[in-house]
Amino acid sequence: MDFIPGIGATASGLDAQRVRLEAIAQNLANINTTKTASGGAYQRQVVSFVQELDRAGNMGVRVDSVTSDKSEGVSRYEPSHPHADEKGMLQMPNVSLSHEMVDMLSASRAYEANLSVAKTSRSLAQKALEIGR
Amino acid sequence: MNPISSAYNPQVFSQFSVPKQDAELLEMGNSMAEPFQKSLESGIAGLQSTHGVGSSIRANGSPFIDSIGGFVKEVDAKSKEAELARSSILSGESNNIHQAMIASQEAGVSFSLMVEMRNKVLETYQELMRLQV
Repeated sequence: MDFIPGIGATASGLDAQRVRLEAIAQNLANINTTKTASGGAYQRQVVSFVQELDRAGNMGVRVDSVTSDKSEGVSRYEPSHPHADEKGMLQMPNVSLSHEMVDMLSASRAYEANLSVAKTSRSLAQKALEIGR
Repeated sequence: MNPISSAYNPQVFSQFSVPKQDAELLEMGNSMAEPFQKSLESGIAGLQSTHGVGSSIRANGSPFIDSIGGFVKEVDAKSKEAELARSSILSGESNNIHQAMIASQEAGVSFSLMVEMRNKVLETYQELMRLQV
Protein backbone atom coordinates (compact mmCIF):
# COMPACT_ATOMS: atom_id res chain seq x y z
CA MET A 1 0.00 0.00 0.00
CA ASP A 2 1.22 3.46 -0.79
CA PHE A 3 1.33 5.87 2.09
CA ILE A 4 1.66 8.76 -0.31
CA PRO A 5 -1.06 8.96 -2.99
CA GLY A 6 0.01 8.21 -6.55
CA ILE A 7 3.64 7.77 -5.68
CA GLY A 8 3.92 4.45 -7.55
CA ALA A 9 3.00 5.95 -10.91
CA THR A 10 5.20 8.96 -10.24
CA ALA A 11 8.16 6.75 -9.38
CA SER A 12 7.75 4.82 -12.62
CA GLY A 13 7.58 8.11 -14.53
CA LEU A 14 10.78 9.31 -12.90
CA ASP A 15 12.45 6.04 -13.77
CA ALA A 16 11.31 6.25 -17.40
CA GLN A 17 12.61 9.80 -17.81
CA ARG A 18 15.91 8.79 -16.25
CA VAL A 19 16.34 6.02 -18.82
CA ARG A 20 15.46 8.48 -21.58
CA LEU A 21 18.06 10.92 -20.31
CA GLU A 22 20.62 8.11 -20.22
CA ALA A 23 19.90 7.33 -23.88
CA ILE A 24 20.30 11.00 -24.78
CA ALA A 25 23.60 11.13 -22.90
CA GLN A 26 24.76 8.10 -24.86
CA ASN A 27 23.71 9.69 -28.14
CA LEU A 28 25.50 12.93 -27.37
CA ALA A 29 28.63 11.10 -26.26
CA ASN A 30 28.68 9.23 -29.56
CA ILE A 31 27.93 12.19 -31.79
CA ASN A 32 31.19 11.68 -33.69
CA THR A 33 31.53 7.90 -33.42
CA THR A 34 32.06 6.50 -36.90
CA LYS A 35 32.79 2.92 -35.99
CA THR A 36 30.90 0.61 -33.65
CA ALA A 37 31.14 -3.06 -32.65
CA SER A 38 28.53 -3.97 -35.27
CA GLY A 39 30.42 -2.00 -37.93
CA GLY A 40 29.35 1.28 -39.48
CA ALA A 41 28.60 4.55 -37.77
CA TYR A 42 26.82 4.89 -34.46
CA GLN A 43 23.04 4.88 -34.63
CA ARG A 44 21.13 7.03 -32.18
CA GLN A 45 19.23 5.16 -29.48
CA VAL A 46 15.51 5.75 -29.12
CA VAL A 47 13.62 4.82 -25.96
CA SER A 48 9.98 3.78 -26.22
CA PHE A 49 7.57 3.56 -23.32
CA VAL A 50 4.52 1.43 -22.58
CA GLN A 51 1.84 1.83 -19.98
CA GLU A 52 2.00 -0.59 -17.08
CA LEU A 53 -0.37 -1.57 -14.29
CA ASP A 54 1.55 -1.98 -11.05
CA ARG A 55 0.65 -4.03 -7.97
CA ALA A 56 -1.07 -1.16 -6.23
CA GLY A 57 -3.31 -0.59 -9.28
CA ASN A 58 -1.54 2.55 -10.48
CA MET A 59 -1.15 3.07 -14.21
CA GLY A 60 2.55 3.61 -14.43
CA VAL A 61 4.99 3.67 -17.29
CA ARG A 62 7.66 1.18 -18.20
CA VAL A 63 10.51 1.34 -20.68
CA ASP A 64 9.46 -1.00 -23.48
CA SER A 65 12.66 -1.04 -25.50
CA VAL A 66 15.72 0.92 -26.46
CA THR A 67 16.09 0.64 -30.22
CA SER A 68 18.46 2.06 -32.79
CA ASP A 69 17.31 4.72 -35.19
CA LYS A 70 17.97 3.12 -38.59
CA SER A 71 17.91 6.34 -40.60
CA GLU A 72 21.04 7.27 -42.57
CA GLY A 73 23.37 9.92 -41.27
CA VAL A 74 25.19 12.28 -43.54
CA SER A 75 28.21 10.97 -45.40
CA ARG A 76 31.00 13.25 -46.26
CA TYR A 77 34.12 13.01 -48.35
CA GLU A 78 37.07 12.52 -46.02
CA PRO A 79 39.60 10.16 -47.64
CA SER A 80 42.24 10.61 -44.93
CA HIS A 81 39.94 9.30 -42.20
CA PRO A 82 40.78 5.73 -41.09
CA HIS A 83 37.06 4.79 -41.14
CA ALA A 84 36.40 6.12 -44.63
CA ASP A 85 35.38 3.58 -47.31
CA GLU A 86 37.27 2.92 -50.54
CA LYS A 87 35.60 5.89 -52.26
CA GLY A 88 36.76 8.16 -49.43
CA MET A 89 33.26 8.62 -48.02
CA LEU A 90 32.85 8.73 -44.28
CA GLN A 91 29.45 7.72 -42.84
CA MET A 92 28.63 10.01 -39.89
CA PRO A 93 26.25 8.99 -37.07
CA ASN A 94 22.60 10.01 -37.42
CA VAL A 95 22.70 11.95 -34.17
CA SER A 96 21.56 15.53 -34.51
CA LEU A 97 22.73 17.87 -31.79
CA SER A 98 19.67 20.08 -31.88
CA HIS A 99 17.35 17.07 -31.78
CA GLU A 100 19.12 15.68 -28.75
CA MET A 101 19.12 19.00 -26.95
CA VAL A 102 15.38 19.39 -27.47
CA ASP A 103 14.82 15.82 -26.31
CA MET A 104 16.97 16.46 -23.27
CA LEU A 105 14.97 19.55 -22.38
CA SER A 106 11.74 17.60 -22.72
CA ALA A 107 13.07 14.73 -20.58
CA SER A 108 14.25 17.11 -17.92
CA ARG A 109 10.92 18.96 -17.85
CA ALA A 110 9.01 15.68 -17.66
CA TYR A 111 11.23 14.59 -14.76
CA GLU A 112 10.55 17.88 -12.99
CA ALA A 113 6.83 17.47 -13.56
CA ASN A 114 6.92 14.04 -11.92
CA LEU A 115 8.97 15.45 -9.06
CA SER A 116 6.44 18.15 -8.40
CA VAL A 117 3.68 15.52 -8.37
CA ALA A 118 5.71 13.65 -5.74
CA LYS A 119 6.12 16.86 -3.74
CA THR A 120 2.42 17.69 -3.94
CA SER A 121 1.27 14.21 -2.96
CA ARG A 122 3.61 14.26 0.00
CA SER A 123 2.21 17.55 1.20
CA LEU A 124 -1.28 16.08 0.72
CA ALA A 125 -0.37 13.20 3.02
CA GLN A 126 1.01 15.62 5.57
CA LYS A 127 -2.11 17.79 5.39
CA ALA A 128 -4.19 14.63 5.96
CA LEU A 129 -2.25 14.01 9.16
CA GLU A 130 -3.34 17.41 10.42
CA ILE A 131 -6.96 16.22 10.58
CA GLY A 132 -6.41 15.02 14.14
CA ARG A 133 -5.06 18.36 15.33
CA MET B 1 -47.70 20.23 60.25
CA ASN B 2 -44.26 19.41 61.40
CA PRO B 3 -41.98 18.39 58.55
CA ILE B 4 -39.72 16.45 60.89
CA SER B 5 -42.45 14.20 62.09
CA SER B 6 -43.50 13.46 58.53
CA ALA B 7 -39.92 12.36 57.81
CA TYR B 8 -40.33 9.64 60.39
CA ASN B 9 -43.71 8.65 59.19
CA PRO B 10 -43.60 4.91 58.41
CA GLN B 11 -45.93 5.50 55.46
CA VAL B 12 -43.43 7.82 53.83
CA PHE B 13 -40.70 5.32 54.53
CA SER B 14 -42.52 2.52 52.82
CA GLN B 15 -43.22 4.75 49.84
CA PHE B 16 -39.52 5.44 49.28
CA SER B 17 -38.16 2.04 50.12
CA VAL B 18 -34.41 2.44 49.73
CA PRO B 19 -33.43 -1.13 48.79
CA LYS B 20 -36.15 -1.28 46.15
CA GLN B 21 -35.00 1.99 44.62
CA ASP B 22 -31.41 0.76 44.50
CA ALA B 23 -32.37 -2.41 42.69
CA GLU B 24 -34.40 -0.41 40.19
CA LEU B 25 -31.52 1.94 39.55
CA LEU B 26 -29.15 -0.97 39.10
CA GLU B 27 -31.41 -2.60 36.57
CA MET B 28 -31.89 0.66 34.73
CA GLY B 29 -28.11 1.11 34.65
CA ASN B 30 -27.59 -2.39 33.32
CA SER B 31 -30.10 -1.97 30.55
CA MET B 32 -28.46 1.31 29.58
CA ALA B 33 -24.98 -0.17 29.71
CA GLU B 34 -25.84 -3.14 27.53
CA PRO B 35 -25.91 -1.38 24.13
CA PHE B 36 -22.76 0.53 25.07
CA GLN B 37 -21.01 -2.71 25.95
CA LYS B 38 -22.14 -4.23 22.66
CA SER B 39 -20.87 -1.31 20.61
CA LEU B 40 -17.56 -1.45 22.48
CA GLU B 41 -17.25 -5.15 21.74
CA SER B 42 -18.03 -4.69 18.06
CA GLY B 43 -15.48 -1.85 17.99
CA ILE B 44 -12.80 -4.09 19.44
CA ALA B 45 -13.73 -6.84 16.98
CA GLY B 46 -13.34 -4.30 14.15
CA LEU B 47 -9.94 -3.29 15.48
CA GLN B 48 -8.89 -6.92 15.68
CA SER B 49 -9.90 -7.61 12.10
CA THR B 50 -8.24 -4.49 10.67
CA HIS B 51 -5.00 -4.57 12.59
CA GLY B 52 -4.58 -8.27 12.82
CA VAL B 53 -3.50 -7.97 16.44
CA GLY B 54 -6.12 -10.63 17.02
CA SER B 55 -6.71 -12.46 20.22
CA SER B 56 -3.76 -10.88 21.99
CA ILE B 57 -6.00 -7.93 22.84
CA ARG B 58 -8.15 -10.10 25.06
CA ALA B 59 -5.24 -12.10 26.40
CA ASN B 60 -3.18 -9.12 27.52
CA GLY B 61 -6.09 -6.83 28.14
CA SER B 62 -4.18 -3.82 26.76
CA PRO B 63 -5.40 -3.07 23.23
CA PHE B 64 -3.72 0.33 23.14
CA ILE B 65 -0.27 -1.01 23.92
CA ASP B 66 -0.70 -3.85 21.42
CA SER B 67 -1.94 -1.73 18.54
CA ILE B 68 0.73 0.89 19.16
CA GLY B 69 3.37 -1.84 19.36
CA GLY B 70 2.32 -3.31 16.02
CA PHE B 71 2.28 0.13 14.49
CA VAL B 72 5.75 0.93 15.76
CA LYS B 73 7.01 -2.27 14.16
CA GLU B 74 5.52 -1.34 10.80
CA VAL B 75 6.99 2.15 10.94
CA ASP B 76 10.35 0.67 11.86
CA ALA B 77 10.14 -1.67 8.84
CA LYS B 78 9.46 1.35 6.61
CA SER B 79 12.46 3.23 7.92
CA LYS B 80 14.64 0.13 7.50
CA GLU B 81 13.45 -0.07 3.88
CA ALA B 82 14.46 3.57 3.38
CA GLU B 83 17.85 2.90 4.94
CA LEU B 84 18.36 -0.09 2.62
CA ALA B 85 17.48 2.00 -0.44
CA ARG B 86 19.90 4.70 0.65
CA SER B 87 22.76 2.31 1.26
CA SER B 88 22.17 0.61 -2.10
CA ILE B 89 22.50 4.03 -3.77
CA LEU B 90 25.71 4.81 -1.90
CA SER B 91 27.24 1.43 -2.65
CA GLY B 92 26.39 1.81 -6.33
CA GLU B 93 24.07 -1.20 -6.48
CA SER B 94 21.19 0.93 -7.63
CA ASN B 95 20.98 4.25 -9.47
CA ASN B 96 17.40 5.13 -8.59
CA ILE B 97 17.92 8.18 -6.42
CA HIS B 98 14.23 8.99 -6.55
CA GLN B 99 13.32 5.54 -5.22
CA ALA B 100 15.51 6.13 -2.18
CA MET B 101 14.02 9.57 -1.67
CA ILE B 102 10.48 8.22 -2.02
CA ALA B 103 11.24 5.45 0.47
CA SER B 104 12.57 7.94 2.98
CA GLN B 105 9.56 10.20 2.42
CA GLU B 106 7.26 7.25 3.06
CA ALA B 107 9.18 6.45 6.22
CA GLY B 108 8.84 10.07 7.31
CA VAL B 109 5.13 10.21 6.62
CA SER B 110 4.47 6.93 8.41
CA PHE B 111 6.50 8.15 11.36
CA SER B 112 4.43 11.31 11.61
CA LEU B 113 1.31 9.15 11.32
CA MET B 114 2.56 7.14 14.29
CA VAL B 115 3.21 10.30 16.29
CA GLU B 116 -0.27 11.58 15.47
CA MET B 117 -1.78 8.26 16.56
CA ARG B 118 0.15 8.38 19.80
CA ASN B 119 -1.02 11.93 20.44
CA LYS B 120 -4.58 10.85 19.81
CA VAL B 121 -4.34 7.86 22.16
CA LEU B 122 -2.76 10.00 24.85
CA GLU B 123 -5.44 12.63 24.41
CA THR B 124 -8.13 9.96 24.81
CA TYR B 125 -6.45 8.66 27.95
CA GLN B 126 -6.21 12.11 29.47
CA GLU B 127 -9.82 12.80 28.58
CA LEU B 128 -10.80 9.59 30.39
CA MET B 129 -8.74 10.53 33.44
CA ARG B 130 -10.50 13.88 33.61
CA LEU B 131 -13.87 12.14 33.67
CA GLN B 132 -15.91 12.99 36.77
CA VAL B 133 -17.19 9.93 38.60
